[in-house]
Amino acid sequence: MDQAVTTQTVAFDAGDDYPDLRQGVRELCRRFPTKYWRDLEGQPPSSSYPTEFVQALTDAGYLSALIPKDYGGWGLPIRGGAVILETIHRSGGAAGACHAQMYTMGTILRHGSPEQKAHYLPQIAKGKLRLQAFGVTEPTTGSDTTQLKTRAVRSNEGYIVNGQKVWISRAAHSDLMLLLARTTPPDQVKRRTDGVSVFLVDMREARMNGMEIRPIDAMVNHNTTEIFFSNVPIPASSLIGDEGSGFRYILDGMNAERCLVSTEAIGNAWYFFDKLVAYTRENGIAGHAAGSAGALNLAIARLYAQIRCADLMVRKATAMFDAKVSCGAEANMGKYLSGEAVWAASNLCFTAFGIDALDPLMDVERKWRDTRMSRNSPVSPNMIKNFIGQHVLNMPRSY
Amino acid sequence: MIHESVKSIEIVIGHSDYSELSRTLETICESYPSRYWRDLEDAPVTERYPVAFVTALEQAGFLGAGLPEDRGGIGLPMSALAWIVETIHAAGCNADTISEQFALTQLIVRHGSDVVRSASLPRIAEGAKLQTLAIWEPASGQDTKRIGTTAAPCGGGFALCGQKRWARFADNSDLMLVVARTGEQPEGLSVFLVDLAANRDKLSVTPTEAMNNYGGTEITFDDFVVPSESLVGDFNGGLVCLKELETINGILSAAAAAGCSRFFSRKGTNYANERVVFGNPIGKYQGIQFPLAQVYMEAEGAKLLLDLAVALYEAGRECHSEALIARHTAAQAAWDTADAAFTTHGGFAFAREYDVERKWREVRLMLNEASIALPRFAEDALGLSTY
Repeated sequence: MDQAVTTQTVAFDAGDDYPDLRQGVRELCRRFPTKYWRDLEGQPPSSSYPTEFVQALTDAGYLSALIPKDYGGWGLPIRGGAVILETIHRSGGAAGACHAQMYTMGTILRHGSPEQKAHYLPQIAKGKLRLQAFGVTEPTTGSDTTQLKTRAVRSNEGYIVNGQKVWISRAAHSDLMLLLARTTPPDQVKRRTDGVSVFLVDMREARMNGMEIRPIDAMVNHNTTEIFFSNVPIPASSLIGDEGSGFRYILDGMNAERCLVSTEAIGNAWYFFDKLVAYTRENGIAGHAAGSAGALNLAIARLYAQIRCADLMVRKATAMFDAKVSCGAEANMGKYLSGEAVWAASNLCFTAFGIDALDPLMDVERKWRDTRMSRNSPVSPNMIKNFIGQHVLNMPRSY
Repeated sequence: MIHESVKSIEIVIGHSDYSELSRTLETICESYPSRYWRDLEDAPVTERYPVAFVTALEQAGFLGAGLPEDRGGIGLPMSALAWIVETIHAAGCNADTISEQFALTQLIVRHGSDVVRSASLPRIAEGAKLQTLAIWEPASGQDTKRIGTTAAPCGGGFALCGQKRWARFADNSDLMLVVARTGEQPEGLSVFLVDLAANRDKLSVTPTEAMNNYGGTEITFDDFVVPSESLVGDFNGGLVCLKELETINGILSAAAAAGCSRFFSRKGTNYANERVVFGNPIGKYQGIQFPLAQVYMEAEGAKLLLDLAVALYEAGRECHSEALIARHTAAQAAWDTADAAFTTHGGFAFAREYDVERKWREVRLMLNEASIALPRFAEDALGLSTY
């Protein structure tokens, strides 16, 4: 009679799960106070990467928490990684500089050959190799990923790559990149999703062979770049899984990515929430910047509900993912709700702080800019509404 | 504060042992289609109680679903009671009668003395209706501590004096709980069980005209004497009972709102798929599709707050704040969903035959009923004053 009735039982903890992880990450983050992040922003793009922070996370093992124990990681489910990221963001830090490793690793784990796994995963777990770059987006395709134009053409030794990627975060600070490229022209495949392949590219070599990385000067410190491929040779052994099936592999990883970045958004939302509650307590009844205390306090209560709904939805999606239950609808809903919640949180905080919000020392404006990204990336709220409208509520495709 | 240390509690999704009950309940709801509820609205104010629907629920055992088995009920847990309420609303019916019965019965089970329980629970098991809570007064509104109806000790009992409004279903219920002042301090309130069925000649009960088939009545107590054994909970301890009731009602109201969200989500998307304008089903247009997708997500999120409150309640843990915020959020989501479905229906939303406007009016009321939940949550759970 109704839509989206979950038939399989899934259980999840609604409270402070993984308390030891939370505690450990909180302590690590204390060594990187807000001043550390502010100072990075003053640097040119080439030196704004939080190198010391990423190194500390790597040394402590957090970045390889999701890698199976057999390969030297901790073997945690996605939820464990999500808790790490949430705690970083709630503590005032930013995991965007290194979070990709958590979900890109999954593509190798699920679809890589035994040789690829044995070669790469232990080195990633030890921190010897950085897998932080995820080459999907292109200037002309936007959300329509199957229209990508970067080509990988077979050669005697492997493939030759030509094309352009954009908004590739962390590329200058990564040794490896998961690259999505078309291996069969679109007019020679049955479905648009066919003929696209995933490669694990060694960027150290590629940079010497025609791959150029240019930083993008952006509103947020995400160390993002555009990448140009000009006849870049890559070995045949860099192909992940079957040639032409790459789009499916990427889709597989997207739900994990959504669960992880949505939990970061939840962490940011709580960051602002904590700040708001502390601010209103200190400023008492006067609530000078935001008008009457009653109106602001009711807005804060409403915000709590919004964040908690999003939090629970993301936990639900993550639990389903970890239980290998199909979670496309929930991961999308979690992404949407968490994006809206964090934006509501950061905006309410921005408003409550009045003109002080502009002061970098208040640590409002930096994260306010950061959190706006949760409503644009990695999937837009409009595309989520399209997904829900079409695939959950069974309305016609609208675009 | 609630956001600083979050209670660990497991939520289980997709688990249900009630498939047999589900079929029975859906069959009952199908027998009382929208026409039935519209006709009730057209009846004189004294004849709007859904007698046939409630009788059908009673005969199938649903009315006593929350009674413990040793009291003659089927002893279903809170998740099942919430599920029953949600299912009835999702089918387009109205569960307010049975929801009141669940909540007030639960209160007696948990707070009633042996005497009160023996006087009421066997009757409830046999089909007696306990659906009336007389609490609201014109001068008190949501500010319970300003209740003026008094219960003065008099030879072995209490004499009630005062006036209540919006007491639901008092003209059809057999039993009623009354909140009255027994002490001078603002907290000096007590709760009494009143046998309505046996005292119809001694009480003035007048149904109130309203925008909805709300079942509200006005009750005048003029030295109406209740025996002292009818006290529910402690003397002057009414607020303890009322807080408990607020928790239970929070959960059941959130469930009702969740059912309404499902009703309107289905109604809105069905119409969006059927109605063709400008050459396409209107659901193809993002101006129609996006709001329906958005409110669906909002309602699915709200449902998880309800699941959280229910999980805590069933684990026997404190969940007053969680129930309050679940109620607020579910009511808001239900209203947003109802209004999106209303807009989707265009002019036909106003046509009673399309059966949008009746439940739309119902849902609007949920916002008013939930209005105290948010400020109370802000105070209790976040330590933020709202006035």
